Amino acid sequence: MRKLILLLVSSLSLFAQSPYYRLGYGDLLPATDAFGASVGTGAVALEDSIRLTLHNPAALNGLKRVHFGVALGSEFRSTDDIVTNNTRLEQIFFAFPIGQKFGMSLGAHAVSDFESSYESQLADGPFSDETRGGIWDYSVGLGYKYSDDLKLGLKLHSFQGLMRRESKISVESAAELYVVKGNLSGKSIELGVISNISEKVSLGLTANFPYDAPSLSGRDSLAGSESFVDLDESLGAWPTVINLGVVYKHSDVTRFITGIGQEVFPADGFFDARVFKLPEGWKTVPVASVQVAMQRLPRDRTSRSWGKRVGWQTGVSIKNHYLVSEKEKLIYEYSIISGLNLALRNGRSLFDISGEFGSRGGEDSLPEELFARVKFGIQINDTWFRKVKRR
Amino acid sequence: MKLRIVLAVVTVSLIIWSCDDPIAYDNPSFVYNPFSFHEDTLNNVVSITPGEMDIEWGAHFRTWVGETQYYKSGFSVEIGFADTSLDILGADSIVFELKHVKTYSENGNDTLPSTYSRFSYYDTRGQTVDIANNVYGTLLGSDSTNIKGSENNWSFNIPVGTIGETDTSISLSLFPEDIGYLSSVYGGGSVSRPALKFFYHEPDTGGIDSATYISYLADTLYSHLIEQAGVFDRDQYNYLSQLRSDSLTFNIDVSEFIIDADTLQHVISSMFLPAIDSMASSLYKPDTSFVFSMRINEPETGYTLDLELGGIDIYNQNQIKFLIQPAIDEGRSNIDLIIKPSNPGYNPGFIAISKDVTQSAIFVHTSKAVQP
Repeated sequence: MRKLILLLVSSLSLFAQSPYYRLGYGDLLPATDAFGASVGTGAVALEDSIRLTLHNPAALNGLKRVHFGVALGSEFRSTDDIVTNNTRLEQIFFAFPIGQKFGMSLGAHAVSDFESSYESQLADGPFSDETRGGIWDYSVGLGYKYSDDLKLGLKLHSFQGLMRRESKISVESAAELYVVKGNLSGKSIELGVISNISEKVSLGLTANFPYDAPSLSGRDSLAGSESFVDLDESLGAWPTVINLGVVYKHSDVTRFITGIGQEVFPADGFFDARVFKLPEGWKTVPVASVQVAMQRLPRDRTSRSWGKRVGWQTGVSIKNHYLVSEKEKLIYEYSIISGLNLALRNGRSLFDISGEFGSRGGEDSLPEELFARVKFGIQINDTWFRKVKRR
Repeated sequence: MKLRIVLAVVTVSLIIWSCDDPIAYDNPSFVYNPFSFHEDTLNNVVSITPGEMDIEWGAHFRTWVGETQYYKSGFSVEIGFADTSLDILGADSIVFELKHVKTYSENGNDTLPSTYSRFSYYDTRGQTVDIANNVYGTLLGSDSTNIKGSENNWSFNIPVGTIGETDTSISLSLFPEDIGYLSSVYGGGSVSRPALKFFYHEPDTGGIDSATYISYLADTLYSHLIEQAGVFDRDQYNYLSQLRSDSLTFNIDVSEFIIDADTLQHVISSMFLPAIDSMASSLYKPDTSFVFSMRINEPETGYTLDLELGGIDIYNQNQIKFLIQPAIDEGRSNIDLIIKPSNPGYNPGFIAISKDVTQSAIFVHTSKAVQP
């Protein structure tokens, strides 16, 4: 186990950059757990007594056990025949029941990754620019079972992040270095609902409103001088996210899951941006994402045969990037999504692995990319708060 | 089972490690270069004010004796020997000793035309030295001494009777007779400063003559230096010489270098370019490592830097960015740069700087980083 931890920690240092992530707020709102990545936004309509999905706080209702989960993700990108990798911890959470109808979750997951690198040969000399950091979303969620057919949820999100960008240009014998660094913080509120429209169809909806959009507070300074300026910049284009999911229970073990996601960006969100300034002519566009997936549940979660305890899901995903150039050609991501899960016989541990393979492109000034995301998640659950009758 | 887990982990790790190093994206359409550069040489000296600065003499102060087309110099010392045990009349000889450092010829010619030069020694007790009118005191005698090379010992026998039995001090001076040379000798606070030695000869235990002496180092030293008449044009030039405690204060307008208030600005390099007139200057070349060194002080910050001339219009060292940067950071529109010779007394050169403020300049190369 020590070796495993060592190797995983070592692999975290292998950061890679995508040119897409140099723009705007970087890799924004990546799906953050293995199961969610393999079914898409349709996960907002799912409830499962074994698996807890944090995609909709309404799913926290009526928890019977305490759940703990952690997810690790690794993205491989092939750009111009160069394969790079970015591996990071994606999510960690803890959820527990409160009475018969309520459930609560505490969690954190990555919502933005600024990791990027840029270089160019300018008239003055070689120029390079490296950005590090990202934003984590720390959340407290509460789910309530209003009735068997209607569950409600509320989640408060606190965004916390760090950023450091170093811009360097070499002239004559000097290397000029310009450093922007700071902390990010913000808040949003998320409302969720899950409704069983019929015996076979359930519907989930979440809406996440950034009532206090993340803002960068820090300093920019020029190395070699004592000059610095304090920074205070709002990430005014932080989106409102609405996800709709529909689950059709075709049989006891087969479900069809459809998800539609929408990210709405304030039109002038980047207007005053300086640290997060977009290239000339670029702007935000609403993001629409659609995923259609089929889920096969394990045939028998208590079977001695691990083959019967395996579930899987697969589907397709399409979404557009949130930024476009002045040509207004949308950048699309097409991908095949799939995943496997295996529960232990006692139903108290669940292992997920997901794979997403796709391509990204459509803008002439950016290269076509092939990407493969692999995610690994573990959930464990147990009964912590059981009343024991004593004689 | 354990082996399979290890193999799986190793395989995954190898896959990850087999990836290329992170690439940096290169696309000129995305360049957001916050830097811009600005180079300028501005004749923005507002005023040049001559003054005097304390010379940092150091531990080996030199004094000068000699005469060239530019200067005439000599010095006098006072030596006390109020010692009741001193047997003045019993001394076989009394010698005035000096440690010669180096001799320079006219115009910095490294080769001296002669090995010896003649100097005169004077008793200046109770007398006022007036070098401009050749009033030096009572002549004790003259001597031709070795000026070739360096670190020579010069000695002069004080004539018998000059120092009486009851005397407790003497004032002696040294002035040149030959012209075309300037010699430096250790003076002032140096441990090698002039001394007066009382010699006694006694037979040793073997009956052979043996000399012993009692030495008294100079208590005070006065340098006498005049510029030759008509040589220095002080109407047009200010002069900086290592023989004098001259200084010049340049008041410089730096406001034009502050490009924009909404920027972070860094001085990459900066040169101070006082208008040194080569024809009116005289630089000596005792060695090739440096010719003339100047110390620049910025009184607001107290920062000090050295400029080193490698020849007329050639700087071995001229970097004053650390003086300019604070001024720009603080948004000051003017700075004072006080310039004076460094290494005092190391050579008898001087530079002539035009009094015309428009002739001097400052060069500044800055980068401007636009705030994001």
